[in-house]
Amino acid sequence: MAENALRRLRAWLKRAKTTPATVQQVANVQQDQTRDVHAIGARVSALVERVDVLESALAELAHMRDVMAERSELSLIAALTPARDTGMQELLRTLGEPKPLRPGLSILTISWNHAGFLRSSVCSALATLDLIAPDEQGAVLVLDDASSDETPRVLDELQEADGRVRPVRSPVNLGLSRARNALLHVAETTHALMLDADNTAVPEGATSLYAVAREWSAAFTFGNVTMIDPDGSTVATASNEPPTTDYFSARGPHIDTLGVLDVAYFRQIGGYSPDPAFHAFDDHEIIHRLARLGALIAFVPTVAGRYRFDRLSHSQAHQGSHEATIARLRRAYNQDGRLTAQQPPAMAAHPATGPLWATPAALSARPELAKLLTSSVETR
Amino acid sequence: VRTERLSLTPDVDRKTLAQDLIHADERSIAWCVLDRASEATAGLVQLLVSSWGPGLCYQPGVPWADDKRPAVLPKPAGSRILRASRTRVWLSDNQALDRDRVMESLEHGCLPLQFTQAARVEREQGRSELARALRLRPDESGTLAPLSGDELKSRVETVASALSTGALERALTVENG
Repeated sequence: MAENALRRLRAWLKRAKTTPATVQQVANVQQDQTRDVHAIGARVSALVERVDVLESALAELAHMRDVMAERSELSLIAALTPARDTGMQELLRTLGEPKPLRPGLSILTISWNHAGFLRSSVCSALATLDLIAPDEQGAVLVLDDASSDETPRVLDELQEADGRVRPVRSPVNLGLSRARNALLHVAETTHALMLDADNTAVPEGATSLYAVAREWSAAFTFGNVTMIDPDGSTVATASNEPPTTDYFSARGPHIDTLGVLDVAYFRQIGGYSPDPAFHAFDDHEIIHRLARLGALIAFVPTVAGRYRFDRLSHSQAHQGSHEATIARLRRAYNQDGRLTAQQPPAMAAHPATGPLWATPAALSARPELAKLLTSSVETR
Repeated sequence: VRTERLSLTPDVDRKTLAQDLIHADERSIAWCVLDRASEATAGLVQLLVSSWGPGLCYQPGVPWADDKRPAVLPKPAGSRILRASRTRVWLSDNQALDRDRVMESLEHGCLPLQFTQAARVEREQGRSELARALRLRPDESGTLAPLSGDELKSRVETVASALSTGALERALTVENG
């Protein structure tokens, strides 16, 4: 028994003598592992940095792809321009001289291969006309911009169902601006609602735009446009603020095409610009031009329409031209800085509230606004 | 629309406000929304247009261009919009009523309606008549039932009565802690 205890003591002493060396070995291993971990950490950090650089490069490549696609599109548009100019002249010759304008509202719809949306758009246009006095009802003028889908058949059916629908067919694809201008040429009323085929009007809201446009002789009158995703969900609201100096220095436009136009004034200024540089931003260009020319722009705080927010739509498919267009607009209309220094002639009003706001330029153009804006708010 | 209230009548007593509210149904516009532009506000407006027809809506700001752009229309414009509307609707995730929006609406003779998504509303049946009169929620299909003349009148009378007796202020104090 004592011999066993002695053997165990000797073994213990032997292990105790070797322990420091073992501890040192463990410490050395830990040191090595710590060094390895640090080395791996440094490599991971370097990899993360490289991934960041690659992501930036990919984003830049995507942007370049958009820009190249847009340049390609611009080249195509430039190549098409002579044919479109000729097509426009021939169409206008066929349509004859513009008729005298009578007080009223027409709806102007351009459509290129939008047969799938046309019925909804035209029905909302007819419902809008139904809300105004019969003698002020104009036509729903739909320009079929050389569609190759079933647009002609759909238009025939719509015309057969309601004689106020008047198709205008262009054998040559004119593009947005010329197509809009062709409809301005055939309009027979003082005012027109520009309603693209993939949009729908909210009839009561659209007639409020007309009422404000008529009362205040605004060149362009717009109201809120709700952007709806193809899946039916609501994306955002556009056309929700009147233009101020901020509008002309912002990174992007917020005023949609949908609005009521003073037909005579738009004809006088040559309508929408066919400049290829503005082909996806014709609505943005017209706001710049109206502001520059001192024309009154009116905002109505109500929903006037719905906009189908589709990545395939004309405006969304040409976001690559955004920066170039903004730069060109600034060069064309704001080299002297006036648009970003002086408020444009703009106002806000609704038939139920009367005038709500006006810029000094609008007050100067419509002095009667001042009294109405400073009068006390009615109790009921 | 802004951080400060659109109050034009800070010195008007509760009974006068209640009398003013009783006449809300004489106004031509069914509803108004005054909130900053966002996907949620746009969704509320779309729901209201689809369910109740057009109203007045001012949604300042351009989220995709300048998120912090101040509202263009001034306070008196907001007041005029409220004065023309029978109801003022806003979206809220909060179970408690928004005291400022409630009082701001009432100061303009407009019935305040706090819209809450159905799934987030609990114990609706347990709420007081006043609390129900100030709230709006969609039905199970996600749409809003039309606000009939009778229902509007009933809600307005409930709120006007609570306003004139001081019960509304007490209820708002309790709800907001």
